[in-house]
Amino acid sequence: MSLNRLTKFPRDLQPSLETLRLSSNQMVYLTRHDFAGLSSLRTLDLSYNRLRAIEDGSLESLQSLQEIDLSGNNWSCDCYSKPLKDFLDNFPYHKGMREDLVCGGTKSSGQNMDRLNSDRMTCDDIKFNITNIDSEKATATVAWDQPDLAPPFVQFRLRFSRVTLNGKNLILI
Amino acid sequence: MTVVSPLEHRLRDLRAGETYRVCLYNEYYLGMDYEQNFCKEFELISNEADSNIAEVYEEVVIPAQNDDLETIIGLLTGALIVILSLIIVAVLFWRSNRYSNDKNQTLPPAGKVQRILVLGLRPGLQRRYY
Repeated sequence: MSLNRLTKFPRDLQPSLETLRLSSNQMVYLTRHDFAGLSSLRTLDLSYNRLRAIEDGSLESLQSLQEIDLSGNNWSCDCYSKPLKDFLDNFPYHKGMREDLVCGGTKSSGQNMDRLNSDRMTCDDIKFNITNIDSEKATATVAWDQPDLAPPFVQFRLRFSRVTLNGKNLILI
Repeated sequence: MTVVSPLEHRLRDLRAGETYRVCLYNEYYLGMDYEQNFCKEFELISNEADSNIAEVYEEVVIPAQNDDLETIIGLLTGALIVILSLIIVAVLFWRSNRYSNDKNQTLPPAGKVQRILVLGLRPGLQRRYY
């Protein structure tokens, strides 16, 4: 399935599939859902796509994986591609492939991901505002625009808690 | 709760006068400095609480300052009155003493007075005796 213009991972693949070549396509992000059920896959070629990140836990589900080629992609090298680096540090399935993993995002552009310190693969602060604080209606509004660089598989969460009770600080555990 | 973009979530049933914390994050951020980077706090201002604070200031702070000032002014005025009174009494006493001393020392006997008056008349004036 190489040399196509696939922007998404193909669906309904046989669970008995052992080799999958998806080189030179146009995929950007891959999710856990894409790899579900491919328990026999040993060789995966994802080289020369536009990959920026793979969802955390995706490659771990490939129980038979022995070889993966991730050369020639556009890795974001921020917090979203950190799980991939951690995975490859523990399981060097990409070693010996055509090219090293090179960062293509705004952060660490052109650098080799293998040589990056994992702790430096961070993301910018999430910017949001609290508006319309209305004491009469006892309401407030949280307003936020998702950052452009956030992959579609990322789920943002909102946590809301009271810091004081009758004006005294609460201990949050 | 999970949120989708663009987010505009309304927080309800807040209590006036309390402080709340809102954190927006995703699982990829959890290794970072979570509280500092992804949380904001806000306080729901209470009008009732404001009026209570104002009353406290009126009842306790401001009158207490006025009382002190009035006491000081009263004490100073009283002290000034006492000092002035003492000065006036002292001056009067001094003057009365001085007058009585002069009277004792300079008044001649009754006969001499008549003579002095006669001698003191200008030439050409008629002598008069009373």
